[in-house]
Amino acid sequence: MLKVAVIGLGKMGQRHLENWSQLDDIQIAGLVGSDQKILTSLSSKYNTQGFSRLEDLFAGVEVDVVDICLPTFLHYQFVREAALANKHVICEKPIGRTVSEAQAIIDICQKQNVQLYIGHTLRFDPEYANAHDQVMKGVIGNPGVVRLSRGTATPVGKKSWYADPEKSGGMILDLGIHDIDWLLWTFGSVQRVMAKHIKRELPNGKNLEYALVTLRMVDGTIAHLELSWAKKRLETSFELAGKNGMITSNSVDSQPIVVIKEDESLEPTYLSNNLVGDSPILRQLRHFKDCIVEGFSPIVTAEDALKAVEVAEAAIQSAATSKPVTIVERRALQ
Amino acid sequence: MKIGMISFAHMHALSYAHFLVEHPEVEIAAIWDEDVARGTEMAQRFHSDFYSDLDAMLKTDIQAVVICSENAKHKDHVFAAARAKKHILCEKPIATEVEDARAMIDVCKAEGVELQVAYPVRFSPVIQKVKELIQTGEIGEVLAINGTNHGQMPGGWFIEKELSGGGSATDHIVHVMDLIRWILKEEVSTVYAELDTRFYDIDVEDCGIVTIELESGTIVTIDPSWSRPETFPTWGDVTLEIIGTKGNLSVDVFKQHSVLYDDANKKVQQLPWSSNMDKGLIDDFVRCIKEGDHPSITGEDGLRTLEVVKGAYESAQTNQVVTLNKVIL
Repeated sequence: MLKVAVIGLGKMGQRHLENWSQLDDIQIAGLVGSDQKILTSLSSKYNTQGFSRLEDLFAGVEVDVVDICLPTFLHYQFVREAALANKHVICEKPIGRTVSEAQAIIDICQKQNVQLYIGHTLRFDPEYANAHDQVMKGVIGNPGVVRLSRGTATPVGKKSWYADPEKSGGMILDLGIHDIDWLLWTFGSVQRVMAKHIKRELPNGKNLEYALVTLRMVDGTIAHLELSWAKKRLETSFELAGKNGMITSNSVDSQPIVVIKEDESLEPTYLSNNLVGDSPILRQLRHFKDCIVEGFSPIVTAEDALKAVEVAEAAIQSAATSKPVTIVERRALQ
Repeated sequence: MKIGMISFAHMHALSYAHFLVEHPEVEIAAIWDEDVARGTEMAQRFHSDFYSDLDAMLKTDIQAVVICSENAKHKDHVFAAARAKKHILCEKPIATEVEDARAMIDVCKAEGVELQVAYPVRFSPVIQKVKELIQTGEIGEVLAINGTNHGQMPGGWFIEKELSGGGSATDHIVHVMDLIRWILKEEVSTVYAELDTRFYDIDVEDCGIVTIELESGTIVTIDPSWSRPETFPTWGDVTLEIIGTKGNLSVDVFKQHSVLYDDANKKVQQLPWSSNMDKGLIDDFVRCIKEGDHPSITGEDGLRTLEVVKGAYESAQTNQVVTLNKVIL
């Protein structure tokens, strides 16, 4: 029985909880959250204990692994605390707000000899995992130009920390990290990044953000990434063109079940929660459990997660300076 | 109205000829083609006279010419036609060099003939609606555009640099660029491009992504790649994702089609059913000549889009952002 504590009870923490509760040989050992009402109701729902501080959790119950579902800017502080308490760590993506934070997170976990897994859920999303496998098998041949798009609604209300670049790293890091990691996984390292980024506060108080990022991979592949906080709901697509063929997929066209209710308007959705079958989060958490308990080798490592932050940072830098950024040159300067 | 065709090297010539013949007031009176066999065949097909001597054709009483020769030959053909006082519809890109484009504009002005560059996508009913939506403020101020003009690799002279001037960047940046300039009424400030030859063993680039900033700060990318596989159900696409302060427009110009699963030819094919944009282009050209009007698409439109193409090549070579030094007309 693996004893898991979920830290952070926002939308992502709640989703993780829901999925942990579906897995065998998992005990939800405790929860940590700042909102007392949510903490009480979730503790009772999942028949576990709630704490408002991490140290109280460690003092109160036995925990093997903490699952950190907190805003990005809090990752370092909480991973550090968990690692110092000798707990294994699962942490939401992006691993850290900056490369140096990400490195510090990796270092402390290594020093404390605890395992660290980052929730790059796209690697566990069957649509994207399958496309990755097809490319690796050589189905499209030598890759040429690949286009990915990810858009969702502007985070508002309780999610407003997303819109604060100091806290989330901004849209390019927060939203782009998914596809950037998938691109690195599938096509290898990035050589050069060119990005354009638009940010505009609208009269209704919402922040409109949109970016167009071009990545030149070391293997020569040209990747185009569209990132949008200007949609009404999550919409993703990819088109992978190579010498021998092309794979395309589009979230809007690949819904096996569409529900239309007479009395409901279209509400924005933020997570890919409408897959039929095991959700990517369930697959991801099951894999992390297998890594910790059975010693499986991880599909995504903390170093992979750091590299994705590095590319996102290069894109942010490119957009800020209106110039292409070469990864190797950037590393040399830091 | 008598019109002459100068070369069928570019496949669009067939469609233009078709709509010229269909036009109630037009007759294709003369066809010249460097390729005698092709020219003779086309003359038969469109019930026209074939000329193997261009000067001889230009001496006839045709009022205008449609030039669909290889890109690098546009300049000579525009010069010859202009000096013979024929109005001109010239296939895109206007030329392979900016200086040539400028000289072509100058000669047409000096000779008092109209020079229209073939950007038929402007006449797509889809694009006309998009223009209206944007210009009436339906999506507010436009902040960003993610555009594509994909195609299959055309082969032939398109991949011979001396004739085409370049590969997919030359062939496919200009359509989307023209639409953006036309709809937003603004010019390009900077260009960055990643271009490469990754799909075919050819001597010109076959793919890339071009990153553009307009003078207002609007950001744009254009994917001009010849990345559609041979099995793709149509020749390619023109798409625009347009982000405005009040909403987005997702535009797929050729979306209006049904799909044919064709066992006889072992192919899946799109069957477009929307109105043909080439007809709009041809009708506009004919109307301009008839009414003595200036064409809606000018030589400058051809030149400005070519400047972006040249900027893209320079950027791809240096891996730097290129600030366009626009020719003053």
